[in-house]
Amino acid sequence: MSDSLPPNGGPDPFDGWDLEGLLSGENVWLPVGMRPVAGALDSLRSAPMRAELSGEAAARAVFRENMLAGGRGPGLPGGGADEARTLIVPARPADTGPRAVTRPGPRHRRPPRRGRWRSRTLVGAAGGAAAVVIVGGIALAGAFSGVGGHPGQLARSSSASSAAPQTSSAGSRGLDGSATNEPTVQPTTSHSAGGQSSSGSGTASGPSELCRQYLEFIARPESRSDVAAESGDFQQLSNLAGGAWHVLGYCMELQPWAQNGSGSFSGGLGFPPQPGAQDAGGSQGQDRSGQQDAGGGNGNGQNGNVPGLGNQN
Amino acid sequence: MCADTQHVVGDDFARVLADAQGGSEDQFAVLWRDTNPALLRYLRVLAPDNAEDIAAETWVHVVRGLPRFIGDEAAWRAWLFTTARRRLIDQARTRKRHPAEALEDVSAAEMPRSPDAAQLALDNLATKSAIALLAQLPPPQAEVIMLRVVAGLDTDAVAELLGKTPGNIRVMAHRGLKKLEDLLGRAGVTSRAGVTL
Repeated sequence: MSDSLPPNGGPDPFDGWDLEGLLSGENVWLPVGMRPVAGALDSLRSAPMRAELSGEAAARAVFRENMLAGGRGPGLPGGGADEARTLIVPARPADTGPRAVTRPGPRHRRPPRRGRWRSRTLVGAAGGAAAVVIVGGIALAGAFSGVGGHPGQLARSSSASSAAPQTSSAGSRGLDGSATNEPTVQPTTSHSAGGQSSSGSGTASGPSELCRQYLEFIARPESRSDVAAESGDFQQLSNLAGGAWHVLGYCMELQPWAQNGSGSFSGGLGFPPQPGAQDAGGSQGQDRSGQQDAGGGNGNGQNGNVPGLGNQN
Repeated sequence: MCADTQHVVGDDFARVLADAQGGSEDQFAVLWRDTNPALLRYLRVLAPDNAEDIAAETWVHVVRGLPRFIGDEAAWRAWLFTTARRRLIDQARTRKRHPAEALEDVSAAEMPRSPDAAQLALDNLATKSAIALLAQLPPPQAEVIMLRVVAGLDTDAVAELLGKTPGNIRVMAHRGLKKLEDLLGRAGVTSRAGVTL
């Protein structure tokens, strides 16, 4: 008889027979009706059948593989995270030199998208250049508005004027000949004294020369002195460029550094250097023109000394 | 060959387990032969259609965790059947989501709750018949009886494994045994040799 206690919770529910003894397989007293049950339970405890031991080879194989894998299952379903992170590196010969160890970056970091960054950089640079062009055009239009009023008036006046580009014309200092009173004399003289290639007329007849002066004006706006001449130059440039707002782009394209792709001017941004900084020629303005022509090869030999634009000292 | 399904290893269990954990395949085979028949019988009562598959999956998990196991033979059995029960639950969920097996693929002798199963138990009370008989019980009662009788776990271990109180386990075992008595009584089986009167 088993000495186990009946369960808690009221009167004996087992009709006096030993539940624990029956379940444990002990020889206990049982009512008649429970004896077949005890026989069924004994059958459940019987010796293993052959079929129940037929899988020993497979179990041994699983055990063998697991032990060979160092205690981890070889790709078994439901495996732990350690198995997923296991990296089996093939053996390398000892004489193959040092092995480069590459470590993967943190997985939580996204790889840098260089292409996108570069595209953003290019877009930013292009935007900056466009802003410079617009600001320069606005500044120039504002500078010349002393004559023509606002840029709109300049555009209208330029469109009303002759649009034919002139490579050489009389009164080249102001391109109109009537706007200058006196500042044109000295540059012409200096140009002649400098011996630079020149037609001798002292006029800025070519687009490149006009643009050179225009760009110089943008670079050094304090150099303006002859408003009338500037207005005439700008009108001519407007005609050449197809509008007041296209002058800057037009002149940029005509610059030699833009055409041959090399920034050879010492003034930076393709602008001629300051007159005082020149070491060759000694003249004012004319030498700058000579340098530009020599650098770009597209000069027309004119001194291009529009009064006030190239002479400020 | 084992005498029965309970506690075959006995006093040598600690040494056998240590050797198996150290990589001895033969000692692992001792553990396997000790518990696999009971495991299969337990699973055949609760999942007669795929007991072998669940048993194989159970052993895969047991082998994987064997080096870290600490305990005696009772704990070893409790761990083994706990693992098997988890695999059984997973398998049941999978089969519930993907019911694929047709009923005609299951043999009549293995079909639970069939009239023929009780008749097979009445014929010889052999192991298969007893398993088929237990399969007619409500699963909770059948599981408690199998864990107590086949796995050799005591009431407390079964209660812990199933997440119930020992009192609940006793009540469920009692009801299951009474159900078996009723089934066998209706079949005309009233006594059996070997039982102490």
